Amino acid sequence: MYEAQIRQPLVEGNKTIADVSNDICRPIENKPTKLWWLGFTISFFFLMIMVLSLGWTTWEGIGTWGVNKTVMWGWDITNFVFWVGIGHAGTLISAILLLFRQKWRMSINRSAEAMTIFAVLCAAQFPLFHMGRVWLGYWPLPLPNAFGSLWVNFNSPLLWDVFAISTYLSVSLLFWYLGLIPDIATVRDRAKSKATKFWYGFFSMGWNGSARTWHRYEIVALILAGVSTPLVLSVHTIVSMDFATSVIPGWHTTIFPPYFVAGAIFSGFGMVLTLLIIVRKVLNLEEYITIGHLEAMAKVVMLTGSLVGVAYLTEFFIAAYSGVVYEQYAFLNRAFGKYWWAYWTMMSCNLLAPQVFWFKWSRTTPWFLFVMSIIVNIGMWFERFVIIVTSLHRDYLTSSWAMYSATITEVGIFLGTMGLFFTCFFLFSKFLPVVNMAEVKSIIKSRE
Amino acid sequence: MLDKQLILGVYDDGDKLLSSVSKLRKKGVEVFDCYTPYPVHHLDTELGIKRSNLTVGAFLCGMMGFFSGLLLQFYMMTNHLNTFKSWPMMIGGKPQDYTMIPSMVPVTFELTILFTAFGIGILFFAKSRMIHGKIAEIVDPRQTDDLMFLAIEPSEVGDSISRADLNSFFNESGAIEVRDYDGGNSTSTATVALVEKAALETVVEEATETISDEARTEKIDMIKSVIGEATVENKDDLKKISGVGPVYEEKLNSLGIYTFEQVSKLTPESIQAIEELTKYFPGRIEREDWMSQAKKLMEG
Repeated sequence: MYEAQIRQPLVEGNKTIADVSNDICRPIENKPTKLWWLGFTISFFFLMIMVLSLGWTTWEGIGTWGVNKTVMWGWDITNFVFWVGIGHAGTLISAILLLFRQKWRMSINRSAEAMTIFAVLCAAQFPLFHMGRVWLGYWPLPLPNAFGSLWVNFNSPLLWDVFAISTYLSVSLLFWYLGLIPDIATVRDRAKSKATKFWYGFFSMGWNGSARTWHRYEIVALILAGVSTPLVLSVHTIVSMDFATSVIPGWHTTIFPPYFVAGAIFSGFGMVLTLLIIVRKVLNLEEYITIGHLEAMAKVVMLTGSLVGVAYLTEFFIAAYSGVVYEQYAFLNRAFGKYWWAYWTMMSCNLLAPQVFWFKWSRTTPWFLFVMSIIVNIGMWFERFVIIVTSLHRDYLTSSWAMYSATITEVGIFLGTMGLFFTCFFLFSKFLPVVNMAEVKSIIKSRE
Repeated sequence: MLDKQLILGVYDDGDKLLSSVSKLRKKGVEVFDCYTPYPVHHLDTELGIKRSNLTVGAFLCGMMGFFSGLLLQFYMMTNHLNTFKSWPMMIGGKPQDYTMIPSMVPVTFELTILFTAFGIGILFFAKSRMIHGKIAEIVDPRQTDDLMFLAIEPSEVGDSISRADLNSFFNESGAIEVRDYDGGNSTSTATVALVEKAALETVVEEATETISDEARTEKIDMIKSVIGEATVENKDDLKKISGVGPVYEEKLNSLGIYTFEQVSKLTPESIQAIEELTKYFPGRIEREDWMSQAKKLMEG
């Protein structure tokens, strides 16, 4: 097997194929650790907060939120775009890096794809609940009905979102599950208890590692990667169209589709770093998720952060150069108006902070990367907040100008989705292999 | 467990497996399948597996998605299909005909991808005969863990390669073990009996056809003259010899072979005679050295 001399090894520690199975199945085959229980309990607590907050919202109505007729979208849609954006990094690592034959994706793609699914689950709460009458949540679907049949409006990006997010969730789930099958079979065949053997046997669908099946499997993986890539790009483009197809200054701009996609990758990699730095430490997988992997991700953060930064400057330049007073006001208001603190948080976290990654030390020191990943997440949350709230609260009609601040219910929902996300992730890390064993085995150097 | 008879070469290295497959096929031996914990590069081409036409299926599913998306939107948003019976979709005066096609792009795009993905997923599972709850047909639990298995059907042995040659080939190619597998644990005697039974049942007609009664008696006499006679009263449990199951023991008994002492005295000539009479896994007696086994068993 060809081995490039200049690249760091993708798997450290002279591992054998058997080591891979043993190391990665260990958290599944052993009892959960105290640390796992601690993390799971805290996450579950926040999940309960989400249930409570959503329950209260459903019972009492959207009046429990801080949104009003002017600023009709606040934390709800900010959080929606935040979570969808995070999901995109998972698909990028799985699908796009597969198409580019980047082998370093192999030890991180399983966790990244899991992150995508959990993030999209969190994102989906918001469009569903923000419509108010959750029990009518199926109305955006084009189903025959008793109202004449009254169909949905295919001109609207809000409807395109319904199709895009549903497709994204289901295709990501399929891709993740397909990738899991050989590994589930491994756990099945190592299983000591009847229950383990049954459940993993059930979900492994009879996988046996036959060369004929592997042949088909690799084709399917490539095709799924091939469709997931345009899917990722189209989904976040459609999400950006929720704003770009409107008329208000700060929203109505053609830069949004590529800007949002870059921003999604940026925020997504931030979250992947947050998750993986914890996972590699707690599950002792540092030899599989190496410093080299973290560095590669830091470089992607650096690149996409810079793209986002350039987009900010472009918007600002176009506002100035165009001479359109409304556009100019929108941007001056963002920097110096009532929400200036949100704007400057966004700018420093997204444009300035990632520049530190020019220095190798910052890219290769896990604790620092962790801190940076949190900063990226905060910055990107604020970006969506700034775009949504500052543009809405100062649109064309001055008599509608209003302020917005989130209520405790909205805060509860958001923190609650963090709980949902991490609860899912803890369950995932306990019951499923967090690294794709089959792929990693294929890059283990043979002993000669 | 996989319900089939196979000869398995067990490997712990993907490169060695690959070169073994390549060499075997050059010798004209068909490899039934390989079982590996990860996809070994180029193994499919070496095995002669033709490129799957799942890609064609994926494309067709995608086309179905594409046309479904367009059909859905034309049906609901325009009158081109005469569907404005009661609710023409008048939204802010926006066009209600084919000029709204640009608006139709996102949903059509997403449905194309959705149909492609699920279409190829379902086709894959169907073609690979995989479904939830199916019991896996494996030959060894480690085939999904850290070992690789090269499987050959027993019928391949004899024409293009002899069993002895195959065994030495496996050894030279770096296999860590060679196994005779039959629907279960290949090292147990019960397995050997089943293999025997199946093998004997299929070839027993051959044996009785090709050997005349006189020739048969001649051979039996020759064997007896080499190894001596014995009677059924002082017979040993020949099944204790690895490679002998209940059916084969019967066969040996019918040739007048009852004791370990007799087996320990077997010579190449008598072995050949036995093999001609029973036609069971040629070369096995010598390979598994029944003579030494019998000697040891004699000593108790």
